[in-house]
Amino acid sequence: MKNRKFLGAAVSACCLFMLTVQPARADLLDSIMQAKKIRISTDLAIPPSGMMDGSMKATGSDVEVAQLLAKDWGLELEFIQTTGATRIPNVLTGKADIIISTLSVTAERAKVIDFSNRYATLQSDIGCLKSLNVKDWADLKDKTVGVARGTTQDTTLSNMKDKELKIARYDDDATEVTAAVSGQVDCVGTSATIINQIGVKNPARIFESKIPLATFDLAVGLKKGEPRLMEKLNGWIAENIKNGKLNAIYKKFHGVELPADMRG
Amino acid sequence: MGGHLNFNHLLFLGHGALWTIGLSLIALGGGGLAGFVIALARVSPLKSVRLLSAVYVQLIQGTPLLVILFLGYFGLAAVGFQLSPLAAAGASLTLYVAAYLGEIWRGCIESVPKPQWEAAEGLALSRTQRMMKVILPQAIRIATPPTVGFMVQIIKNTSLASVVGFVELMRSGQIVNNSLFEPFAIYAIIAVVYFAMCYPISLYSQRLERRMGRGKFNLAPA
Amino acid sequence: MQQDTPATSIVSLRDVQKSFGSLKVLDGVSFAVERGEVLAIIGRSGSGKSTALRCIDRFERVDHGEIVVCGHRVDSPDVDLRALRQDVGIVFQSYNLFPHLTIEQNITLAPCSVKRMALSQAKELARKVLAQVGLEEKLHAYPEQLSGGQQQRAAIARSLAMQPKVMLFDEVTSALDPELTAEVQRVIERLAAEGMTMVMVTHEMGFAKSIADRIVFMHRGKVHETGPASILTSPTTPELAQFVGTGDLKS
Repeated sequence: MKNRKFLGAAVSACCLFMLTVQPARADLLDSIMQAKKIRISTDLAIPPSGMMDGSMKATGSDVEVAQLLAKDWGLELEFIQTTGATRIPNVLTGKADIIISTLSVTAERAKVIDFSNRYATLQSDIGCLKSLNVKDWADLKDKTVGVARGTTQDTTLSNMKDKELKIARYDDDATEVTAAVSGQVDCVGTSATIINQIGVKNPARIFESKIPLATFDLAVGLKKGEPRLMEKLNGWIAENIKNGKLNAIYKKFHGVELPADMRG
Repeated sequence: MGGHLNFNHLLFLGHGALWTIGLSLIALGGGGLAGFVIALARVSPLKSVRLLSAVYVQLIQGTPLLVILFLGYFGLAAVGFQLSPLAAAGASLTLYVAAYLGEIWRGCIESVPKPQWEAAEGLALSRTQRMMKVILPQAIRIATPPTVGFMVQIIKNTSLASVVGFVELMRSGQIVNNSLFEPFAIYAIIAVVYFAMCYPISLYSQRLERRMGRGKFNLAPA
Repeated sequence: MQQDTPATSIVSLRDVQKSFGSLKVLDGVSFAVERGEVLAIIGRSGSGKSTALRCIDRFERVDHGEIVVCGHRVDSPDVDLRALRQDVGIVFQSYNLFPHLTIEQNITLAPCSVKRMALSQAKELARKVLAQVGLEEKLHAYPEQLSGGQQQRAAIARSLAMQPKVMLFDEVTSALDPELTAEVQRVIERLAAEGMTMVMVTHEMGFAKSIADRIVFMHRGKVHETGPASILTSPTTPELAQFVGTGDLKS
């Protein structure tokens, strides 16, 4: 009894202590350079940005961006396994140094983390069965649109209250694709790459992009208050836009090029 | 993206399955020990001990496991405690399992008829002797089916540990699926593996129940 | 009513009071049991007879009054319960054998755990007490394999194995059929003949009359009438007269 109470008190005291006495913490850039290792939070289940190849090695556009960055900075790279929902907590709590994981820049997220300049964009479309006659938003009335839960596509569509859309939310892109392949939905809101993937899986149901949804800027996410790391990241991004490497990576996985001003 | 299921994918899933087994063992081992203490505390003669353990059980049972995992990993980190994913998941699962098993076992202890306590008391057995030699052996028999049911549930619930970055069976399936887009094949494999883990436990419990089938309660009026 | 408790008393209650909430169950109960005596407590249900018996073994705490059992001050908060219960054996209406143990294990448990008796010695003792109740052949049976009467006899044997100075019987035949009742009663009669001090709560008037040295008739939490077994045939209070009139004395 007494021991338990004491323990509880001790634990809370320790927490408080660590909160208040944490020394003016070392600059994140310095600690990364000192450790000779960068820990990057990347979801490896959002193709084609983060996924596994046939020999179960991490691959994808974000994976190659992360690898390029680590190589340029002369650092060892460690991927911190994460799901979409825990990308941000990982950097907030120091489990990872930065996020490179199709993180779209939004105002809500900017309240808790800092964003670098964009290193890529994500073009999202409403894709439908090719045979469907969908030309504008009005044609989508009474149709169900499949999205991956919690993604920016989900948020964007959910905010279009006036369009009277029916939204079906799936756990991830793979499930959303399965829903489209098996005929549960005839429309999806996702990237053009995923839309094309549906027809590959089921040639009887070829999907094509019908309405552009939005173009999101993808940026590196990091903890607030790390100006030196931010500056170095932005410098690195600018350089690799200029030399065309980021565009090349993007094209390799997404099949399309970045916007004209990012092609180097 | 795309491609076909190959040996590497299976290896990856197998690795995930090992983590599921590991997490389950930690959860059931740690949670079982702590749950035993909780069960005893819940029937303690000391009111303060009963109260404290009841509050613990209520607190944990009122919190989804996902939240406990999240708080254990990210919450503690936010206040300066960096736990590894394994430590955070192990501790969270232990806390969670302890509350439930403690409560299940308390119920089993209390369902041993009160006259059994009195008979043992009348024979001058000490409280510890009454508990160890008369009550617990009977409570264990009652506890076997619900405990096994809960164990099977926990094995499946370890999938929530993906929130702290664990690539256990379910998450590894998700990752493979997101590179192959073959959900039916992959989830069928996962279902079979989960079944292969859970079924032997159910089977063993049935055998255990048969073996302990002796000595049911007489239902004479009290 | 004067109630002396001489030094030879094994059990003595003096002005014992006990309430459950606002209900007064025992309202100044006094009686004593001498060595070798058989006392039967009778009365209607709710008269407090079972509670009085349970107070002797401290299964109930008294609110007021004095209880001395084999030299133990049972009413005192710091009575040594385990010492008390080694001197007192109690047998319940519902037998309460331990279902997960054989009859032998039921009997050897307390001598081995409490008295630290060697197992071989305890097993010998088990054989002896089972012979006393006529159940030697059930040594290795489990309680569920026994009839109600056999279970109750085994429970008596289990109590005897602790070699108590006094035995308490709480309506031990109430759950039994008439023919099984008889076999249990025969065991108790033998114990009485061997000189065991006994206090029994019973509603079997015929049995009480044949075995008890003294009768305590309880009514509304009080000892209403007490005396030798003959008071059952010639009661002095109308309440006892009415009670035995409804009992099975005449059958």
